[in-house]
Amino acid sequence: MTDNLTHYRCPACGGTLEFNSRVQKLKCPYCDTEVDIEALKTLNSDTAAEENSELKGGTSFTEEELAKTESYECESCGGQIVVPYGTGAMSCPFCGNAQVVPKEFSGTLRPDFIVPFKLDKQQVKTQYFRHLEGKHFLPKVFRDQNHINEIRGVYVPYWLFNSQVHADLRFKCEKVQRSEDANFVYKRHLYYSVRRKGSLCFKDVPADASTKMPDDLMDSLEPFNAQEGVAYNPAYLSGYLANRYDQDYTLLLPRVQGRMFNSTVDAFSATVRGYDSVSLVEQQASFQQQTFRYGLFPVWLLTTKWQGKRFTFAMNGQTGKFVGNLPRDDRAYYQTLVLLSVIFSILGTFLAYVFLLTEE
Amino acid sequence: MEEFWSAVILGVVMGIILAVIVVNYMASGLKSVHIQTSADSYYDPNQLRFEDRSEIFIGSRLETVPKPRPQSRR
Repeated sequence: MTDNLTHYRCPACGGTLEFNSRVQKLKCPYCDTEVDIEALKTLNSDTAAEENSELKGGTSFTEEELAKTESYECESCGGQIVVPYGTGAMSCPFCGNAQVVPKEFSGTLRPDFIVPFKLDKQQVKTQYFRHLEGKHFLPKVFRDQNHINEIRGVYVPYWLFNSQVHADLRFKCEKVQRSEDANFVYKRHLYYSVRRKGSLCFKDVPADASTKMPDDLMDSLEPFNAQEGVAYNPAYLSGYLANRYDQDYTLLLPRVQGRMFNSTVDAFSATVRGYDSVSLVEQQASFQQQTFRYGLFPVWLLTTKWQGKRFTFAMNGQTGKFVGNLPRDDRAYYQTLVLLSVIFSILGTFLAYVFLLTEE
Repeated sequence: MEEFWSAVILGVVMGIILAVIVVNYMASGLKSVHIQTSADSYYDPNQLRFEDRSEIFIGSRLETVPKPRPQSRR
């Protein structure tokens, strides 16, 4: 397969245009020409015609196909690009030109919307160094010697679910009234059965639809705001990596329903007030008016290597939220533990001694 | 003297527990990757609708605890 690649040419110099998150337009990295996404169709009528014809013919992939890789011929230098199946946008490893594979997002695979990148690579670096600040047990050498290996902007496929959760919860609650006389303390335990039956609407609960992205890392980037999404246009992918979904929404639905249910229980429980103890004894839930849609969210991935270990960080390309686990300096951890134990023990001994003396 | 050693044991136990809590709290800043188990950011609290929010009294139980008798001072 050596066709189906699209790159967007600059009308001024012929260079490959890339989406620029600051100006929210395609920008030529060579002559700084800016091209509005909407105006692109008239500039690249050939590309647009090809893209439109592709949009009609999308089909779902079989499991066998998912395991394969694909090769494309770069339109700029003619080099062969080999990528995992499902890669929708990439850079040519030979000439660096941004490439988009329209067929990966065509037909039934076409995203309903895309949230364009709002933050650029420089802001990823700034957020990364901010992420390292104030971490007491971060090894100093990690901060000093650690070098950023790679920063990639990736459009991650997500399923977004809407649903109305109907729940019927029963709680056993207890109030305790205290009184006393000269000889006894009286505690009257009052028991109540509390019911909360109702509904709660959820909108655009996201679930990462790519097995290539770790679920916990993508979850940690939330929340995303799908309301800022725009109609899908492959031009937004230019200059970034992109994957199409390889997990069907039916696979992700149970997990999303679990999240909605937990939030419903929390929201209902918060209305049960005025008791000394509350315990949930019965719960039922059903999900109605379920709808879903498919979108692409912007994520910056940053990788570093330290002591042979690879560390992956991610930044929400929409909000700037930065996440990623950091290594712990065990020596500093245990030194601090011992030091604080000694200080708190001395203070605790003094306070306990004073307390015991006054008790007598 | 007996009070002193009781205070030492109590103080050391409390000190170690408190130190473990503080140090683990400081270390928790290194971990920022977690699986989401709820969807709190994706609903409007004003959209919460109840069909039934009853609270029914079931019964009561009286617990009587004798007061400790005051001890004589040494």
